[in-house]
Amino acid sequence: MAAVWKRVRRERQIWLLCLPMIVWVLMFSYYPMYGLLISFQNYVPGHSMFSNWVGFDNFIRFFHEPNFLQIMRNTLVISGLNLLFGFPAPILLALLLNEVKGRAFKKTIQSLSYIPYFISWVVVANILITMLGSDGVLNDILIKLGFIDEPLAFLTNGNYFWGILVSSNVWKDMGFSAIIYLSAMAGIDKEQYEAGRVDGLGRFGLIRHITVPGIRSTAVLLFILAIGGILNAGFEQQLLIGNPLTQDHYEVIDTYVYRFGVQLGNYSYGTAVGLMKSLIGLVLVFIANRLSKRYMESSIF
Amino acid sequence: MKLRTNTALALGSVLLAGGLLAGCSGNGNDAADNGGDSKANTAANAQQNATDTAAAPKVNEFGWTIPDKTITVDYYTADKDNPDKVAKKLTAMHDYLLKNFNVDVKKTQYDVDGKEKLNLMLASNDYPGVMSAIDSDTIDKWRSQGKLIDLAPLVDKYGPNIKKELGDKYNSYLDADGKLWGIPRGWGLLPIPDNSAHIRWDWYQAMGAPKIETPDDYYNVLKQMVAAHPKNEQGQKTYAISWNDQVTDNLDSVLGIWGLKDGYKEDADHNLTHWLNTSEGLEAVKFYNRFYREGLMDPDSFLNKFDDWKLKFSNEQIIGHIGPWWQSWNAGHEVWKTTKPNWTDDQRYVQIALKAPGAEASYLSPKDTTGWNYTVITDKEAHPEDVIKFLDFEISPIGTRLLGWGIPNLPESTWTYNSDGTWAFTDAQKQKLFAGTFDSDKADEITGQNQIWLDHPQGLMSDDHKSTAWYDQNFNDEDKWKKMMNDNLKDTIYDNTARRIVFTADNPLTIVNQQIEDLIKTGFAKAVMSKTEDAAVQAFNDMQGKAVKLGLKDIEAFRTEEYKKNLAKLQ
Repeated sequence: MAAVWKRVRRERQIWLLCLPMIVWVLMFSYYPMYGLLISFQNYVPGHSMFSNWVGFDNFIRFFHEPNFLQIMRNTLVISGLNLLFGFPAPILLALLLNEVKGRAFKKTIQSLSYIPYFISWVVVANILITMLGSDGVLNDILIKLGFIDEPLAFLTNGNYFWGILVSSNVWKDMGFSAIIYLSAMAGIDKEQYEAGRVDGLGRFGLIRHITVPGIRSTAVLLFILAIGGILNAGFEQQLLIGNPLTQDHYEVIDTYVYRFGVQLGNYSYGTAVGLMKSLIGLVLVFIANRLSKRYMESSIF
Repeated sequence: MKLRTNTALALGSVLLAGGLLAGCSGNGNDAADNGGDSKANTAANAQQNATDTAAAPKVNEFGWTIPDKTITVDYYTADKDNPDKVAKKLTAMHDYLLKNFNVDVKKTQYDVDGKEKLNLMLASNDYPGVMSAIDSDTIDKWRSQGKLIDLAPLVDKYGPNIKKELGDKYNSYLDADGKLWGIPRGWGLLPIPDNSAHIRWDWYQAMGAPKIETPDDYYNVLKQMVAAHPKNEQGQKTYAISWNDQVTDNLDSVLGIWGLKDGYKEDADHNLTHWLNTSEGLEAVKFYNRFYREGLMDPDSFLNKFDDWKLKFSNEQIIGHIGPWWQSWNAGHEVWKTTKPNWTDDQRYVQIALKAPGAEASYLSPKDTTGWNYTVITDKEAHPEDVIKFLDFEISPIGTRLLGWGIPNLPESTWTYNSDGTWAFTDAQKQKLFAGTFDSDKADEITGQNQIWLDHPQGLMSDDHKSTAWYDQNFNDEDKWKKMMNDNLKDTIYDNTARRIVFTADNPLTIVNQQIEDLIKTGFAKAVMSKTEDAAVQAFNDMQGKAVKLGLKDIEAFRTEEYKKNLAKLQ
């Protein structure tokens, strides 16, 4: 204990700098956690926070939900696809941008690439409906080119839904997520590249042997965090792009919690499902971290 | 130097943390400030009133006894709306009531889900003395926690008009112990249609106006119209019918064509059967599917957002429609009036009734006379008797006119009112209404129409049995097209009050009901959009099977039981 205090005293300036953030985290991330108690109750607003205990009933109820398997399937598939395509996409973009020599051109492309991140899902949904509706631009083009006779039901056929959702997620987030990789690349010692060139590495060789290893720890960190969020398959994009004909493909845990927990006033049930989701995410983070430590010799803790 | 660095860091951290905490408590301070202002106003009013106490009670031209002390009705309404817009529209009526009635009405409204806000209020014990737009389920929750006051004794003492206007129905609002927990708002029967079939009038006339009585007649006429007008002026494909993504919320009503009342078939003993368990439900699905199979239905019918759908309508891509009557007005000829240079009066949609062969009647417009919801008084209200006095005035015919039609005798007013109690509609505004140039938003701001709606009815007023609080619905017989619509649809309107069933949050069937509603939203769309009739029937049967598995029979049993209870209560 004494050693800890000694260390804190020694690093007091750093701790003082961190203090506001620590207060923020305690206030907004830890203090509200007492509300998780209601997942073990049949909570009625206005009643005591320490009454109507029902144990694990709310958790068990979710597993007995008739659409449980469909909800889990949608959540895992959408998240899995987001991870599969959404994780490498910003790395590829960052690698490509890093190779661009013209500074002005590079900055312009980079700025353009992260603009979609700032477009709200409401606008994105409207763009998609305009592009992909039966009277939309894409159907028009395909008909005019003679590929199809009748418009394709891109937005009302569940088979297309996952692809459209994941593509729009990747399009929206790719540019912004690339920033962190670009900053990691900026931190790579330039002498390594010179040494590589001297050793006869070409452009792809430099990427493979210097740039990629240089951003590996950043990529691992983000991958582990992404694994923790595997049950976060999105929310507003499902509600905005989805429609009754695609509900079988878009209902995920978060939309289910919103509709059955919040909208119907079943706060305890909604909290229980949310807590379960968070705990699974936490366990996945530990597993991913452990595996990464063992096989890639890189981890976040 | 080291000391200075440490001090600067410490100060910076404290300031940041302090700022954070101050930010968190900002709302509370704001609320306290508002409360302070409010107290200051009240104190000022009290002081003002104290100087007037010597004056005799004064009755204004509306028959309201102006109180010596300002009555404050400070209420939250759970209806969702933009607070800034609400405040702007309330100002005129607020000032008018304060000046002429000495009543200070303060309304709080948020752009958030009312039920969520009420739950937060209940959990935090922070709520006002009066709340409106409260549903039965919420009343139950608040009552059980002792937060509401029984209004029956207050109504007995201060609410003669409330009892008179509600008449025999008054007892139906009392609980088993004779207690009254809320006063209804928007109650009464307004016999105007809600839903209809729609037909493009000029094209229909050009066809020789063939008879349309049954769904098949309608299908045949629309099919011929599409053949005659396969593309609009922009070269886009036209459709016989189309919907927007709100259709599944209104599905039970559009099934009324097949004799189903609010989605249920009723036998002689008042037992209810859900449309999924009826042959009429299957017929309805097959009818709509036929449009889809033949390329006559907009393939985006379950996808269109209302604004996109409205654009398709105004672009003349949609020829017919089955749904709320106002939609083809709003999306069709009301747009053409302003956009088509050579628009003629018969270029419009007309609303008509359809009745399937074998159906006893077409039940397109269910009417619940109970009211939308209630106004309640909580234990935080210091002067509930004053609130009841104001509610008693509001529910009277003249109170309904004032709060419904807005401030009279202004240049922009919709009505004039004389001190002898006589009144008349303003002709200039009426003509604007007929011409489609009446600006209701402007009228709301200037005259405060229906900006305060605590307990006045939407049904016909008791003194003349023809006026209603909705200003624009008072001239249906004088407007040629509205009259035509009402004549066409008069037999499709029915009293559905006894079918008002409440699914409370603690009822296990509430979730089952929601699951079945979700299933129907998806299943109905899939069945209608099936490529063959067999596939449509299969989709219907699948939906029905899944619904039964989820507990449809339990829902039917629950609804039947509650319906019978309500019938007994209303008799």
